[in-house]
Amino acid sequence: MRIARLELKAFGRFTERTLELGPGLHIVHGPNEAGKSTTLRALKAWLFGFPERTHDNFLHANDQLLVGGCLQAEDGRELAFYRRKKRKGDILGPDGNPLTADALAGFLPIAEQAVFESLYGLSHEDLIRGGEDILAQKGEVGQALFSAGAGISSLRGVLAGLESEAEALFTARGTKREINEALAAYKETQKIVRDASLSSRDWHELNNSLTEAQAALQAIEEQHGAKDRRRRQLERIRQLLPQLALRNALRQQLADLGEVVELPADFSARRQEVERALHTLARRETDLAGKLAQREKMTAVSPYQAVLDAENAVEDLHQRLGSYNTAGKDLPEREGMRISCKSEASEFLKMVRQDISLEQVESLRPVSGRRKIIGDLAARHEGLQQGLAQTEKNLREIQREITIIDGELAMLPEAKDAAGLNQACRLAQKAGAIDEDLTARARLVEDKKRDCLVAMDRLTLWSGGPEGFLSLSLPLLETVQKYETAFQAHDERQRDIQKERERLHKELDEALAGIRQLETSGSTPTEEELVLIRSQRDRGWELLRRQWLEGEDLAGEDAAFGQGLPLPEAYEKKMALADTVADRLRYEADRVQVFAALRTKKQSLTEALAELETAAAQNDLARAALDTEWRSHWNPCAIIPLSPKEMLAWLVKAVALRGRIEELQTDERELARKSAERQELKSALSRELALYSEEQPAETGKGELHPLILQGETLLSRLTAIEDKRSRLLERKANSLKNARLAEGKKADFSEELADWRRQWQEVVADLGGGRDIHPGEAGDLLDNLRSCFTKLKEAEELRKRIDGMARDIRLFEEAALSLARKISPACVDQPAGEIVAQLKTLLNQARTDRTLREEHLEKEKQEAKEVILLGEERKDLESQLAELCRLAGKVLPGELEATEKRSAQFRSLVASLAQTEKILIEGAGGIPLAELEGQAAKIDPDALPEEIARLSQEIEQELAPESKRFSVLIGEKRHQLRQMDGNARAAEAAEQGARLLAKIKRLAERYVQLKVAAHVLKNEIERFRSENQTPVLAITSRYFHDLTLGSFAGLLTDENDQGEPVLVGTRPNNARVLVERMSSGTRDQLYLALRLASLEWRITGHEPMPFILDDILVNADDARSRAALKILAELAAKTQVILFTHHRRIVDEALQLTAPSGLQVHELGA
Amino acid sequence: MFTFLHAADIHLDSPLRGLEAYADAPVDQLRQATRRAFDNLIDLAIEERVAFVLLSGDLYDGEWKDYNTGLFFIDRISRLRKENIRVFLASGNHDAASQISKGLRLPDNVHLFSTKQPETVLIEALGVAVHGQGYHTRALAENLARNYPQALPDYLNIGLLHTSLTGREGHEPYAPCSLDDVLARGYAYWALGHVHTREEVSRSPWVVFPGNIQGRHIHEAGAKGATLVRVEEGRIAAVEHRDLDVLRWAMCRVDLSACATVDMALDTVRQAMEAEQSRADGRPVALRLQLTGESPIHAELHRDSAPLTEEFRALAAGLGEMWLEKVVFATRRPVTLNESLGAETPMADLVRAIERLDFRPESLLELVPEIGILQSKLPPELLHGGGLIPASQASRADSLCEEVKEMLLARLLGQGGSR
Repeated sequence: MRIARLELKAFGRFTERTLELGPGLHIVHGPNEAGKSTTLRALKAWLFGFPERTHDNFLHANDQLLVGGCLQAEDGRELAFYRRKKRKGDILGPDGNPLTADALAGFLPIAEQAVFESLYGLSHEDLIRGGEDILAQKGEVGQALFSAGAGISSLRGVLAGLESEAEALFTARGTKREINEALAAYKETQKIVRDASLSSRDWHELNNSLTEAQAALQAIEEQHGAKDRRRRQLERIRQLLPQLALRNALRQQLADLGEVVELPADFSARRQEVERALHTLARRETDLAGKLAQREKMTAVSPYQAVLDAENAVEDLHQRLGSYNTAGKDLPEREGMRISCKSEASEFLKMVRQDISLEQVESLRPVSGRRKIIGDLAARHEGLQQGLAQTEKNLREIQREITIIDGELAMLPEAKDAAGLNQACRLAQKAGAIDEDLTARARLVEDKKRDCLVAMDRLTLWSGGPEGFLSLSLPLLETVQKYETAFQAHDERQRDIQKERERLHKELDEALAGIRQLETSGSTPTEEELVLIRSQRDRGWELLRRQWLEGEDLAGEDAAFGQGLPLPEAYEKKMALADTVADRLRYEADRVQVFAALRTKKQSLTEALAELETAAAQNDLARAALDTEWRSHWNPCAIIPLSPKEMLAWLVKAVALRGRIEELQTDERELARKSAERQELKSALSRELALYSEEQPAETGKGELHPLILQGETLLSRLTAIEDKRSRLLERKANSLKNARLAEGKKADFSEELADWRRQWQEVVADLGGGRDIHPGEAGDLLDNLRSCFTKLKEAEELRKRIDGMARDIRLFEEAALSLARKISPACVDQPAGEIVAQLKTLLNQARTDRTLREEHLEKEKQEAKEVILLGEERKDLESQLAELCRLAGKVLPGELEATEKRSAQFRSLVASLAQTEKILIEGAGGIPLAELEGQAAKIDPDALPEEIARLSQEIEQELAPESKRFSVLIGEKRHQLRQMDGNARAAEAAEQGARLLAKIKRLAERYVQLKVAAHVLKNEIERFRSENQTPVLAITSRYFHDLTLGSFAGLLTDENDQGEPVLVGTRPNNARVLVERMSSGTRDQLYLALRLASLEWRITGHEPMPFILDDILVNADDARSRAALKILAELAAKTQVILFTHHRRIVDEALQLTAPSGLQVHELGA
Repeated sequence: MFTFLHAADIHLDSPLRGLEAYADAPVDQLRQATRRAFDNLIDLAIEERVAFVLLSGDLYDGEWKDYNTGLFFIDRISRLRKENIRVFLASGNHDAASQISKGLRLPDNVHLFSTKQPETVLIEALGVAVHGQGYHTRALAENLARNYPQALPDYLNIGLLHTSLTGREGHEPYAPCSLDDVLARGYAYWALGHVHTREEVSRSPWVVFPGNIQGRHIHEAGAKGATLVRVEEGRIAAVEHRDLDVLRWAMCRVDLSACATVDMALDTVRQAMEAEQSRADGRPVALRLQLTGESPIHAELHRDSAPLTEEFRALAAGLGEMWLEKVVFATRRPVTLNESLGAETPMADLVRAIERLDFRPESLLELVPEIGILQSKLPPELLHGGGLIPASQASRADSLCEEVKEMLLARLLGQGGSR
């Protein structure tokens, strides 16, 4: 496969850039920034698809990116396709339809870009890495071959990586490796599980011993309790013995005291209190009797009783005195105001009606009430008047307008029908730019005609006009091709015959020369010669026999045979000659054979030549026949043909010319048709224009249509304008007439409404005028005056009512004052009413003071009488209390009370002491009844008591308590141990940790297996690859290495290193061997390049060649080495396409000096 | 009306398997998972005021010897005793093998069924008859169900049995019996144990495997718990599953065929993880991530499987209580290796060499003796399946072949090769 073309439709900085590639060596040169790398990326994107993220979308958006091109397989198949940036359906055919990846697979059997690149791509970096890798492998042959064969420049690193990763996971004796560590940690957790696990036996043993200890402790505790109880009993008795004795003594004293009346504790205090109260009471009774004797003098009859009896009447009059005085002053003033109001009312009435008096005014009150109706009517009158006036004005204006319109209409010209003209114009317009079209067509036809004539002049072999040319019956193209093939076949045969003839002649000459050479170097005996001589010898023997044995006379035959010699000598001579010939045939057998072969060859060659000549003659005949036949085909057109090949070219031209002439004729016909069409349009338009007397059809010099159209259009627009105006005027007139009718109607309406209004007005205002007509504007004023008149009348009436009221009040006041004076103080009867009331008020105040004093004395007397009664009751109470005390003390006299109190106190003291003693006993007995305690004490000998107590204490303290403590501690310990066995999860948690470690170990172990298997397979494969490819590839490599190092190395060899592994060594021309470690890095790069190129060349021998794509691999090489490398590439390019991308002009210049056997193309990417 | 609770296969103190510790892994949240799940069972019983609890075998893990586990069980059962809740226990194969169950004195609210013959306990107050028999030996091959008595009339009959019936995948066929065998007894409810996946084998009458109460490895994924049964008027009115697990195992398959970049893949994985987490109702999740699909980034995933695994772990840690058990890189190439590598390239030859390699354990151990050395050092627990290269699991060998292929391709084609 090779790349025939690469199209950068839209990629990076490129738009529609195409590189035409093809077989041979291609150098794609682009200085920095010129897009060399972009082109390389585009190539990869085209073949293998766009990467997910690209930086080549800065000019064309992602969805616009497009690269394409054409691939060519070795068998000649081609595939053109495009690639866009899409995840699916990114491959497009030239027709824009998606292609499947299968279509590509037929050309590009490797779909993985990385694999393709490693096999068929090589960059400067790969070269450096490859060189370093060779150093790292120390020239190990297998790895070097495999890495160059697969294009992997870091194989050593991969192998080492697999080993070191596996080793980091596990080694048999390691401790710090991941798996080793995890295994150790796992063992540790297993131990924790074992240690933390509790066996059921342990638990049960511990549980049993705990139960036993608990039982023992219980027994000891019981014993301890019994002894402790006894000791406490004895101790108690010892402590309570004195209290028991005291109790008995107190009981005896109480018995001695006999029967006693027990008095309450407060008895003595109560008695003393009663006696003190009686004494105080006697003194208070004496004081009160004295006070009562004094009060009786203060009571007598009052002198002011009459005034006090009329108290309310006097007070009332005194209050009304102020109003009385005011009324006297106001009365005359009010009367004046009333008269004034009445006269004003009369004035107002006069302004309305002078024919009636104030007394008759009530007859006008209904009119005054219709104020609202009158107002409305007045307002309506005004509206109606205005409406009528406006309507009349409108009507006048409309009529004036109609007159104006009629005038204008009369001035317009007469109407004409323009439909015909309009149609003619439209048809002409529709024909479009027919004038320009016709001119252009005519010019085109002229040009074509001229071209055709020129072409016909140029066409040799034939002359004449176009029509004649078209009618020529030319032979078919296929016929000519057929003859061409036939003539070619003849010529080829002729050539073959000639070639064969030359060959035969040459061979014949060689054979003749051989014969001549043999002949010159001495005669060579032949079989024929031997046969001849033998027959002569036999003839001699026959003659001799006849003569000698049969005695026959030979009669001259012998002489003829002997040729002067006697027969026996002649025979002997022949005999000897035959032997000699036979011997020579035997001795010189080789020579004889060669000679014979040459002669046979000469014979056969001569025959072959004869045959060949016959064939040549036949061929010439056939060719003459063919030629005649060929010419006959051209007879009908009177042409004497040249060779078919020339005639083929002639015919192609003639056919093309014929096509052009036919095309020209079509154009001419079309031109004529169009002209006719235009003429028709023109006459139609002229006819229409002539109908309008004022218009003369415009004359057009070249028969053009356009001026006529313009004229028609102008006329049309003028006619249209007039008609438009007319219709506008008519419309306006109709409108005005309608408005006039409407205005008339409105005017009638207004008149009718006014009449109606007048009728209503008369009805409403009749009373107001008293027979006189009232104008609507005047009515308001009249009503206002009437209302003022009524208001004033109302005011006068109210004033009259007030004056009457005030006169009545004065009269009543004076009557009341006089009547009261007669009753209380007759002395002041003759005085004015105001004076009388003032004197009466003074008298009343004096009477009130006197009454207050008497009331106070009476109150005090009543209180003192009540106090006398209370003192009596208090005395009775105290005396009964004293009697009760005597009864309590056992019915004694009051004088005996004190002695009784003393006996009672003594008894009380004894009882309290006894109770105290018994309380102490009960507390000390600890719940035992006193009687039982007394019983126990009676049984015990007080003297033996301390000893008994001491014995018990010793037993408890020294024997029972330590034992109890020991068991308690034991139980505590067991319990603690058992509590430790509490169902905890320590072992379970360790097991969980173990499970986590197992998971880790499992993962790592699987990884280890993968790494180990991978390393094993890879090594095996490297070895297999080496054994298959070593011999041929190293042979080529050696040659390349020699060339690339400019002969500084003679080549390469395999040697064995210290471990007995095959390694690569370079050989100097003097056979000195150089290990790769000793080579310079540049040389190692050359070695890697040689290996890669060799692998590639070897690969091409068995596989479809693929383009070899190199990225600036000669950057570091000097000119001489670059030249050497380019030379190798140019040779390689004869077998497969080689594309070298470079930034360096130097490389291009070097390449241009090469003579590339298969062609060299330089592609410049820069501007 | 009353309720009872049916659970089985507690496997107390059996550790969670396959969870490798790593930084940010929620180790503390997953301690003593089986114990805490059992605590949940006790809490549920008390909360629901159940009349009794049925435990259908495998209380302990067979090889586990720590008596503390038994003491823990007693302590928790004592809580039920305080609430007057009875417990019926029929031992299973693991219990028969367990050292713990032998010496344990059970509280008086527990009835342990005989291992010699079927036994019947009557609860007169509820009108219930409970029939059951335990295992006397680990590998019990007899059909126990056939010897159970016929249902007692006028009682609600319940049968306790540790069996896998006619067999369930991944479970030993102990105490084999057919469904017909158990149905023939005429009981209203069969409380089975042994199968770790919940299954209502029959609904009329009820034959139920409640599943275990806590998943312990990735093959026990999904919700785990007990079955709560409501009885009304002497009939079973409702059978409900209740979650008890404290950690949810989840198999999370993520199709990466639509992911064109690693970032998109990470995003897709994060969404899938979030979905799993929300399904776990607030529990911590132990997740196995299985990446599938014809992925454009297949090669990249394989090349960077180690750092990517770290990234996925970080994603899990970022989500809170999630433990990434394992990442299985099971994506496929969008283009076959044959097409990718061409027909006769050295890389294609290498791939063919890997495919031709004999992955049977005996051959591989001979070719690469270091594997044997490692294997000899591994604890026996890891070698249950037959060692590092198990012959029985064909898929494992296939996946080893795939891993080796992808590992070599990624390394040989290097960084420059991938798009």
